[in-house]
Amino acid sequence: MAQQHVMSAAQPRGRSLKQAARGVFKGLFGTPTNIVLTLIIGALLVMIVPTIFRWTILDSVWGNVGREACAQASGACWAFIAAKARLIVFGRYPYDDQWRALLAMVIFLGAMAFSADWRRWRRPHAGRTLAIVWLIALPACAVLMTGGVFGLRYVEIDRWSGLPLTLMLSAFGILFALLFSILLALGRQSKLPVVRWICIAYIELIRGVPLISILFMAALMLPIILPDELVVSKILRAQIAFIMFFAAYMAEVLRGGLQAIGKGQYEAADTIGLTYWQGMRRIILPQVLRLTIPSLVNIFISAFKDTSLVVIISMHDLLGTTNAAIIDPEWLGIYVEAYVFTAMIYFLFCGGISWYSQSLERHLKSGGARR
Amino acid sequence: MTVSSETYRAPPFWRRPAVRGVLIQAGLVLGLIGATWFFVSNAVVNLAKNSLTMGFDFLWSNASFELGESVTGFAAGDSFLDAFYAGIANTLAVSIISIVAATILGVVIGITRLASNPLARLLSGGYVELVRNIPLILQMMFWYALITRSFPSPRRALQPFEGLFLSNRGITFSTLRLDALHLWLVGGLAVLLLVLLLLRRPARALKAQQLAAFLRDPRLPLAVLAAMLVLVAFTATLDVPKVAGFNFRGGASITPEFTAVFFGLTIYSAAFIAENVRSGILGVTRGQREAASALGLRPGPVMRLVILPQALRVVVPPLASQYLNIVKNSSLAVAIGYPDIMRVATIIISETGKAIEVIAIIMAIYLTFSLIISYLMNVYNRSIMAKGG
Amino acid sequence: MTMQASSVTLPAVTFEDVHKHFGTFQALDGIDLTVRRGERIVVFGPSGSGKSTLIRCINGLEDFQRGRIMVGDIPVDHRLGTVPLIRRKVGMVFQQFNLFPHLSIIENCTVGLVMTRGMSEQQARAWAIEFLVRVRVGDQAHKYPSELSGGQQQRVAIARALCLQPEVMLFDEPTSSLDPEMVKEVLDVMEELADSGITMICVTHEMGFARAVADRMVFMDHGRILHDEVPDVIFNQPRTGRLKEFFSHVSASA
Repeated sequence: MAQQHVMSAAQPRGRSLKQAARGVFKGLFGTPTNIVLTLIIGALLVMIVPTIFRWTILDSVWGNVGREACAQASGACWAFIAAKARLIVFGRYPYDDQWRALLAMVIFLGAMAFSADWRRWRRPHAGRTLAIVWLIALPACAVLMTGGVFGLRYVEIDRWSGLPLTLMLSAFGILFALLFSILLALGRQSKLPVVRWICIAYIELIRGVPLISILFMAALMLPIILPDELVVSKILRAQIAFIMFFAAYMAEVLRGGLQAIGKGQYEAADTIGLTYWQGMRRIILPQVLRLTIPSLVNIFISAFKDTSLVVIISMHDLLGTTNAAIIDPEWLGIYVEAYVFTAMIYFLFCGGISWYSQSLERHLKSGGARR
Repeated sequence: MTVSSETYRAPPFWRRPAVRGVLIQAGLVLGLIGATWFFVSNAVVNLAKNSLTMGFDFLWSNASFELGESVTGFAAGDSFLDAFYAGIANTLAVSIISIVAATILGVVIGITRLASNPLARLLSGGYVELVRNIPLILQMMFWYALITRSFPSPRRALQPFEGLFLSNRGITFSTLRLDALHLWLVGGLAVLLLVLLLLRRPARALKAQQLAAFLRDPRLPLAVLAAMLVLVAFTATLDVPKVAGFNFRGGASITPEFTAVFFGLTIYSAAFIAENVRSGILGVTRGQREAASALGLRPGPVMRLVILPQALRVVVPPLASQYLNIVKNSSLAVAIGYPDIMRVATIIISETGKAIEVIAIIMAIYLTFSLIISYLMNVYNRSIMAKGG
Repeated sequence: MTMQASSVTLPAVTFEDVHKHFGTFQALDGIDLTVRRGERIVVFGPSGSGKSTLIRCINGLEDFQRGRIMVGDIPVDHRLGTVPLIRRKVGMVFQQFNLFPHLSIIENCTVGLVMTRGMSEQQARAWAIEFLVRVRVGDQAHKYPSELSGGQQQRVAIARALCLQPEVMLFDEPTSSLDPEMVKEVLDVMEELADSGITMICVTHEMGFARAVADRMVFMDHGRILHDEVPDVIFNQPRTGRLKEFFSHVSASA
């Protein structure tokens, strides 16, 4: 399931350009089947590519030039995106304060990029540096988004929407789900039958039902089974639902990793006197996480995509704001551009995550940090 | 060597592993009981505030809503239980059709990803990367918008070929119509065909050689099939849809909602199935090169008879979980108004306020689906083991 | 030297009628054994004779069903929860090294010091490097296990156990998964260790090593101790029964 670029790996590096060209030619026209395939696909491409090119580039309308300019054009109306980009990205966040949401996103993504650089991990005090970065970045984001201090206007959490909401739901969802899933995976391996059975029941129950049913639970059931003073905002309830849901999937992946670690590692950790939790934290889990990066990242990507399900409980994440943008009667009939724009945002984030995980995996392999 | 001066004292009793185990587990059980009690007592208070009660007796009272479409023919006035059945049937209808289509598309794309033809590889690779990095719900909404907003009205419906109409009312197509007598005849032949096919294996053990040979003759089911086709060809009438007012009359149609869910599920899931198929084939042929040569340079039979059956064994378990994903993902249909089980559930919740009961019911339904699929999976795995897999 | 120490203090390890079975397989069948402080014991025998199980019972990696094992004055008892106490006194070296692949050589040693002995990271490094130098891998301290040869890895494993200053060292076939040319470097380190006076219990088939350092040799078969003699007796007395059979196999394969 992990994206693997086996294709490039299978071909020995350092072949001359000429050889490569010959290989491609042989692939295209080497056998009758391939000639036919090439012709069919070629014809398809000749039909489709120019059309798409004309629609997106040649005949399209660019710039924030208003609805009328699009009426004459036969191509894409990117003017719609130009007019609605802020609505799609920031949604119901107060218009004049959207710079705050933008700044918060920049800080958040910057901190992510800073932490993602593995060259930093081996440096002395790497843990402390990263902790400091996040201890600054997260409160900064929270202050920027919420306001109410430093002369910033207060913005209630239910107005957070668009890309900041999508990022928040997925980042915290992934982080806390991973922490929770570690407990679940260890519980599932526990020698104590009650602990084991509770974890198994939880994991199998969650994995057996769709995410929406958990979201409905958070949206509709939590207000019933909690006293009024404990009922948190809908966004936080959705956040809890994501954590609960994805933790079960991550726990299954981690279980596989725990089983893949040899008995000798557990015994060695025991023998040098580490307690169960010390051994897990310092010896077993670091290896398990390393081993399961590809599968975990697949779940991260699913989680990122699936935050869009909150539109069903009428929240305005990135997809929700997109839907809000296309119902504007002034721009009636324009929706493809909006979906393409939003799809590209999702595509870039998901593609970015999987690209990063592949390079990290390669780094860990070549780094020789594994036996 | 120094001898440790401290003398041994037995650890306190609560350090004993068995004692700790009992304490931890007892604490956990008590915590769970406490949480449940907390939730239930809150629910009682909150429901009383809105003068609601708990219980499943609402299932037998009458629903006053209509569903956009229903395989089981649900209508207002039927019970809520019937509404659930209708939702289950709709979920299964769109899931099963999507499973079939996604499997076909996914296998084709998965094989193409390993083809020796670089153009084919590029195209299928691009498909997989694009499709699986965009949320399914966005794709469904896009298809739904495309059909309802950009497809022409029935009057100006697109007709890719005779008898098939694409319009903002969905997909409309001609159907074959048989009168009652001939329908019974065709049905009878179909049952006969099924019986014959089921008998082929047990027939081998028959004592009567001639009867066994007769039953195992491949021409026999073919003949029955031919008879069916002939019967249909000569007695059936074609029911071609015609535009009447703002909609079609005659034929059969698939609603835009169904079509959008079907397109979304099929296109999205095919990308994942393609990846499963690809890694299955790679596992069998141990490497890209051999896979490419097997797929591109050798005649079809090698692929069909040697590689695919082996790959199938590797692919079936992940495929089963993809199928389960399709069933679960079909719940996204609620976002565009296709009346699947989840949509029915939301309507019932808003009509009755029975959130807890209804959510419990849909969870039970999906868990049943999951259990059935994992049971079938276990049966399959055991049969593979039995064959010395 | 061994004699002096043992006469005044408790034995380092004692087995009293220890039985252990895995299902119906009798792994240990009434073991009685006393190891005095500073004594160096070599345990040997055919595979499946229970010799690995014997030493794995000492530090609680395996439980046993009947009898009593004492390490110093502490009973090895899983029900009483004494195993953590035992593990502070007993170090172990495995056949497969079992180094932690994600930690550097020095970290392999410091992790135990920091987490169980409460040392600071710096103290632990300074402490551990001495032991790495002693087993002659001091210059490899910042590499990862996969970058080292098998012999080097096993020496690191010895240093990892030693730096926690155990009273008893257990060796479970420490040279069996090594290439022949690396066996000697590990045995040399073990011989030096033997001279330091620590109590050692080694499961090994290295008869040269046994002859050179062992105070006693314990021959096991089918979960029983058949011989418990000084090396001189084992090597030079006329052999009978299973021991004779065993030696004929060893010399045939060597």
